[in-house]
Amino acid sequence: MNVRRTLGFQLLVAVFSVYIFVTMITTITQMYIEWTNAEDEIKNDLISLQNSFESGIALALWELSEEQTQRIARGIIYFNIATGVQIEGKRIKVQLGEKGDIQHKFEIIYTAEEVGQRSLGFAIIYSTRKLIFDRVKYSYISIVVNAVLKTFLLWVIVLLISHRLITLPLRKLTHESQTLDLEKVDRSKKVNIGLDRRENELTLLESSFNNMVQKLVKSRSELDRVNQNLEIKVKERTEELKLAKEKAEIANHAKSEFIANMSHELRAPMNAVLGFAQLLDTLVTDSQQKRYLHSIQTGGKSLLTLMNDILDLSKIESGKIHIQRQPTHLHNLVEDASNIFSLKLSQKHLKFIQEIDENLFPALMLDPVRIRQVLLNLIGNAVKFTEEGHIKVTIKQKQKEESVVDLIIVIKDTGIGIPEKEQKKIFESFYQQAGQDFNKYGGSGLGLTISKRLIEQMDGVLSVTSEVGKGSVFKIALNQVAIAPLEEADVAEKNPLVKKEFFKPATILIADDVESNRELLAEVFKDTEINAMVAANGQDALLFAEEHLPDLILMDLKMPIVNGYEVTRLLKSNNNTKHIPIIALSSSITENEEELHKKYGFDGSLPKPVSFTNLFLIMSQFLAIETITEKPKSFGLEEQSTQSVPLIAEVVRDLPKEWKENMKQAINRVDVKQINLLINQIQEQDAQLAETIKMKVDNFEYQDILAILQF
Amino acid sequence: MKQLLMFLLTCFVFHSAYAICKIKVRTAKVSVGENSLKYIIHDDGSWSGLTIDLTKALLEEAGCQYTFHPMPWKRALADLEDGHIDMMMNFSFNKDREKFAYYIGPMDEEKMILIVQKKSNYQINSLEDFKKIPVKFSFERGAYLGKVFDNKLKTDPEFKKKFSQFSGGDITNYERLALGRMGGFIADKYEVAIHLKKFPQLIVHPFTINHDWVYWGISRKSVSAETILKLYQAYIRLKDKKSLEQIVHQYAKLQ
Ligand SMILES: Nc1ncnc2c1ncn2[C@@H]1O[C@H](COP(=O)(O)OP(=O)(O)OP(=O)(O)O)[C@@H](O)[C@H]1O
Ligand SMILES: [Mg+2]
Repeated sequence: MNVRRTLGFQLLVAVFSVYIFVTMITTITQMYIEWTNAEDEIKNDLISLQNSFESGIALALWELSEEQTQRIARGIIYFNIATGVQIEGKRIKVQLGEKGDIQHKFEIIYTAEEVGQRSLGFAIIYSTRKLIFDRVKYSYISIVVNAVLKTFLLWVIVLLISHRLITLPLRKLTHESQTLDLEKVDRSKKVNIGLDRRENELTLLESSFNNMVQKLVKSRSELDRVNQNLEIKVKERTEELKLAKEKAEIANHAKSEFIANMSHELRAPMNAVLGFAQLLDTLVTDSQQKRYLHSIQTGGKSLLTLMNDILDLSKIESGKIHIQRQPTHLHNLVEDASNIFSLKLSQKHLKFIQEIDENLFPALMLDPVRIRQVLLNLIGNAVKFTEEGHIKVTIKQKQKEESVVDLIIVIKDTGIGIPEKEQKKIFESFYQQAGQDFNKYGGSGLGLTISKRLIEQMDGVLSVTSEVGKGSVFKIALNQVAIAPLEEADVAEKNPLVKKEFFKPATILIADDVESNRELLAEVFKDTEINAMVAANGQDALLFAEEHLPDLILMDLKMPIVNGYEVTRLLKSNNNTKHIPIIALSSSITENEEELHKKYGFDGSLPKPVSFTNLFLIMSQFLAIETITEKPKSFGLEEQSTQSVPLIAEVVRDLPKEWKENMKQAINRVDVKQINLLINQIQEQDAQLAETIKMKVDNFEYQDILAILQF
Repeated sequence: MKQLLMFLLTCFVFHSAYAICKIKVRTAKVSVGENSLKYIIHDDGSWSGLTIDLTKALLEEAGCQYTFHPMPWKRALADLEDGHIDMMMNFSFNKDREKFAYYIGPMDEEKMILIVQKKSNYQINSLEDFKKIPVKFSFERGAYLGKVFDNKLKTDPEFKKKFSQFSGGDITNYERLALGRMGGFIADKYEVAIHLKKFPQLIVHPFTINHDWVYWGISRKSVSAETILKLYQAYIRLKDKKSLEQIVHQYAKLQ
């Protein structure tokens, strides 16, 4: 250990700083006293000189004898103590020697009977401090030597004592504790710091140290025992946990599967409920009954959205939702939303303001479906919770690197606002503002939860700021969003408008074991440049693919002999066919796209029943497309239904009467299967009409369909 | 007529009584029983002697009160200048002193001579001769020994070196000279005769140092013009009455 850090040394320093301080003060005091003594002595000496000479001086001055005065002056400076003398009468002035820094001045008074007392002048005897110093020199030396000697002696003594009494025992104790190995030490171990017989703090420390060691040894062995037990227990628990986790995982999986399936199953009866309710509406005239009916309809609709939301949420929670980035046109998405809500906006006299960054890239790599969902949720909330004022959507973009941008989308409203306390909670599932009027606002409290989860999955942040009574601001921040390459941006521009006619000549293979499905798909491409081949099972699909090398394959997953997964894997492992894009047609929503891609090599997937829009969209990614210069058109629902009315009227008029009749009957029966079949039949004739009707069906707007069929 | 005279006289007396004049007179330091003719002090502290009596005559004539103060000659000169004392006697005339003293007189004559040992054979015919003699002489400190002597002292340092000065009225000079501690000293011839009776081995050297009138010196500083005037008038009256000559005559008999 460093000597400077020992206790002894520190003690020494502490003691000595005080001691030296005191010694210095006493020494200085002593020296000062010596000095003043010497000074006094000199003064006394000067006074004696005065006493011896003053009468002589007086006489000499009296007699005005210059020689005499001189002689006396000389006599005075003969004394060592006087460095100089000055005698000053009125007529005689004598000065001898040197003036010093000490002076003793006295008046010269002549006393005689005849004249009494006469002051004849004064005399000054000079001396010097040097004399004082000379006198105290030796005593100073002795004082200092004395002090130093004493200090040194004390130092040595304290050092020895502290070394012997403190440092050594402590060092020993420290050494013992540092080298103490609890593994090896036994109970008989005793530390001896070498201070036997004497009872003081250190010996107490020694014995308590020994006690501590004993206790440590004891607890150490106990610890060992406990440890062993613990290890066994931990192993057991880990095992249990593993099992539990596996069970939980299975259960969770089963849960989401169950929810997914169940909501799927629930849709069918729900369709019936809502469909019949719609149809009843036209038949019922009694206002009471009509009100009941409306309650059934609204209840059913909200049950349906709730189911959809729960489905979404459970998909997100079980990790089944995957962000599919593709060139996305934000302008269009916002435009879309404004169209969707245009009716409500005008009903509530709300302004819808778009403030989109001028430099916003035409297409960014985002998941359009999910972004749209989030936007609709947020804008829907804004519309719902705002009674007057406006809703403003702002999109800002910050380009940091060449190929990526930071994106901020803000949805601001002038509605009721959200109290600070609630701002966090509204993102929890099923949470709605406390005391919120359900009759007025409805909803299930899942919109924001889903939106937040989706944005988080895109590595973004959804946040809210709000002031009660003034409005709310929801902000989506998406960092590092890739900019879509130009051509893809073009595709994005066209995407919503992809029609089967756009495709350049190509061959595709449709593999499905259900004939109607096969035929339906094949029919779609009848009048196009696309040559569609069909295969009824996996084996055929394999053969056809190898033989004809189609440009794209639509692959049903569940097929006899060889299923879709197998076929795809085989084709992808074959050098001749592995370049062929394969789109999975899955009937199960729980199918994981990523897994499809990774495990089997699918290039994309489409849920069944196949939406043609989506089909063309996904095909456009792999097949060549004619460049078209048509102005982009919004695909908003309401807009479509209003704008396309005259068009629809024309088309509907051209439809066969029989079809129209069948459709009416199907709607009246709410026979969804039949309806879908009928829609598929007019698909080729007018895809857009088919699509419109399909959406109305999806939204249970049977009344509208019936209205269309009137034409 | 007689009455008028009486009136005038009363007026005068009254006047002089009114303007009291008190004169402090310096005298030489002598002790009782000392053989001096000019200054004699008696057991009761009263003074007489030639010089004293002349002065008393003057002061009494002027109607002044007086006191005698023995002090060394040089000190007296300084005190007269400073006005500590009012009058000095046997005051030789010189230009320097006139600056601070009025002169009244002459009161007496003074002959300063040199006393030497009989056995000495100093050839002194002029002041210059002193320098050739290998011994030292002395004179009273502050004494003025005539214009020539004074000049010589001031201009000839070698001459000055030949002399030391003693404090006035020091009769030990005779003893010291007799013991041969000096070559000789300058003294007032008037006083010498008595002393020489005691010291037969001493004689007066034939060379006279100075022979001149002496006066009363009166402090310009301490004495008012009015008193001076009074003293002058008194002196003239004494002269007319020949009183001073009578006193001198009396003492001459004592010699
Ligand atoms: N723009 C807004 N202004 C005021 N309150 C809002 C706003 N957006 C959301 N909230 C509050 O947050 C709650 C949760 O919103 P969320 O969208 O999750 O559910 P919801 O709209 O009530 O029902 P839904 O599941 O149909 O969306 C709302 O009920 C409302 O209380
Ligand atoms: Mg909502």
